[in-house]
Amino acid sequence: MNRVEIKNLNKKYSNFSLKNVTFSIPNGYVTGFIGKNGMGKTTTIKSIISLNHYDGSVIFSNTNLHENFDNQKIGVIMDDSFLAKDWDITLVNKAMKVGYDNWNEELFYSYLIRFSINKKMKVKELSRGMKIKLMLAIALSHRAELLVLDEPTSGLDPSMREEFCEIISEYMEDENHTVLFSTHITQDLESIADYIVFIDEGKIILSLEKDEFLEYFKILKCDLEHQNTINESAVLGKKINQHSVEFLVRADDMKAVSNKFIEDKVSIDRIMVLYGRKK
Amino acid sequence: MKIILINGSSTPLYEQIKNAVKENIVKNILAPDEQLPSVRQLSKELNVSILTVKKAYDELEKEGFIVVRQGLGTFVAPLNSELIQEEKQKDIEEKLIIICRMAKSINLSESELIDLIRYIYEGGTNNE
Amino acid sequence: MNTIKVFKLDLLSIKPYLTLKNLVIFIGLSVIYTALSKNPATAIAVSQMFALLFSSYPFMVGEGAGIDPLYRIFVIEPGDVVKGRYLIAGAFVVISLIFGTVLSLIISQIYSIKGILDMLLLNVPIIFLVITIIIFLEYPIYFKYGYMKGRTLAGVPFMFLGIAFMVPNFFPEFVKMILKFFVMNKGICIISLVLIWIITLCISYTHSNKVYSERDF
Repeated sequence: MNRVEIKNLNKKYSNFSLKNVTFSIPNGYVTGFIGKNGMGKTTTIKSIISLNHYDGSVIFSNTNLHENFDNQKIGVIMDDSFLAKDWDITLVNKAMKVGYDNWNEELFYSYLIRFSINKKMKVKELSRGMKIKLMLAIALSHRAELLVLDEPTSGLDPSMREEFCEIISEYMEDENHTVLFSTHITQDLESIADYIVFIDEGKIILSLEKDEFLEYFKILKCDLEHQNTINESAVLGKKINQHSVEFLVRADDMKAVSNKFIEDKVSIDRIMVLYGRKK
Repeated sequence: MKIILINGSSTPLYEQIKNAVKENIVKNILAPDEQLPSVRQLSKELNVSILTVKKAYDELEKEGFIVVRQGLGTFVAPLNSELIQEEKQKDIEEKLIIICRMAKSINLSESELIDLIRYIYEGGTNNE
Repeated sequence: MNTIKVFKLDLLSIKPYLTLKNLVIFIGLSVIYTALSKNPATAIAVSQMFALLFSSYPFMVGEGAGIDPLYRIFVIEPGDVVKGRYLIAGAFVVISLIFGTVLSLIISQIYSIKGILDMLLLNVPIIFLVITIIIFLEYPIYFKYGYMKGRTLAGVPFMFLGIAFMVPNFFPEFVKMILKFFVMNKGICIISLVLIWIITLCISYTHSNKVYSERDF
């Protein structure tokens, strides 16, 4: 079952547009949403949580088919926090209590203790990592069934990123919980994502199970001399270095690899770097 | 249960998990009928994705090492000595492959190797 | 129900600025100005200026904090946000009017000025109507552009007010005529002011609703 289905999403800006963005977010799993900066991740996410207007449809389904999905059950983490800078944690709690029908105050304070966030701190005094933890505590304290996280790990140090991913894993112990996680730091996804959605230039390039996603591509390297011997139609992107050329190819179109080429390990990072690159 | 995952390994994570669980069963660290952690629990504990653990469990079930009891959870399959015997034999085979390779690399002949094995098998060294 | 949520959340968003220190400044300035001018009406005018200032606070603070996206995340309809903001503005105006009235009564006692009640009875409703009209003119601009971009544009109503005060200098005869007419027909004057107030409110409110629901965050 899909928790969210996004169909033919179109949104035009003067310098950028989303073109027929279509994918779904399976219920009970972590979906990683990847793409370089400025390729449409945030715009898509804003459409999903109805922060902007768009053409197309975003349909939520509920596991209990007799009721509509309550959008209050979406927990959101975005780059800019939605919390007044001068609020202290007590005021944040008050505001969430007003805003969320299912706000659980004790749970919130217990997360704060766990994340060691001081109640007397003001939002503006929190570091980026603390702010992310605060937003995570909020998302976890109103019984959200769907977490929509836009670049939650950017700007966090490796140990904080790991801690963050551990909390997400813990959240996923409930099989009715779903996560959409956008990032350009793909190490996080390699450990926790079940599905990958890849966006480039406002278009969805691929949307697959993570292992299938990685198997979809091959990375080949060769010296400069032999770069023209490759089957151009299979090439999705290439990078020409000083002494070698690196190709991203579709694995299905490149079953037999000539011995002039060396296969390298495919990683989400390399895919993002190479895809669509021409030189 | 002991599971150590190696991230840079060429063996995919789900296979590493599968092998580790198997090893735990064969070595009797996991007893027959013992409950295994749920897919989601194990995925949290190992810090890998849910589908990775699911794939490992699915294959273990197909191979008969574990059973899913609807609504109760996942358990180690009741003692199946044949399966374990087979698995241990496979382990021996794998080790022998390595030994043969090593023997070839130092030009140890087949009969010399067999002699050596016979000597060890009959208790020529202080093994156990 | 959601309107009440917006009302409470808007108050929470400006709560860090409603400090004792600011209250002292607010009261202090009102007292000083009123005492200096020895005119009880000043108390009302000053308090109304504060009401005007406070009415733009939810926009100012909200914009910095990203409270508009927060409302969307709370699944509050844009219409409820608009309703809540107009309610907040109304509340600020009424509270400061009460404060101003009390202050001017006290001042008039101190300086033993007579006829204060008549003065208040006529002035308070008129000031209330004028100030809220200014707010009604400002709000759609804030709803459309947000505070930072809208602030310059929101000055326009004040400019009109300034121009309105200049007009008599250029057409003294005409204005005198109108003033005479109003003085003779106080009833018509008040009725037309009320009518203008209702019309501005309606236009302002529907327009705010329209532009705010079209906004992207």
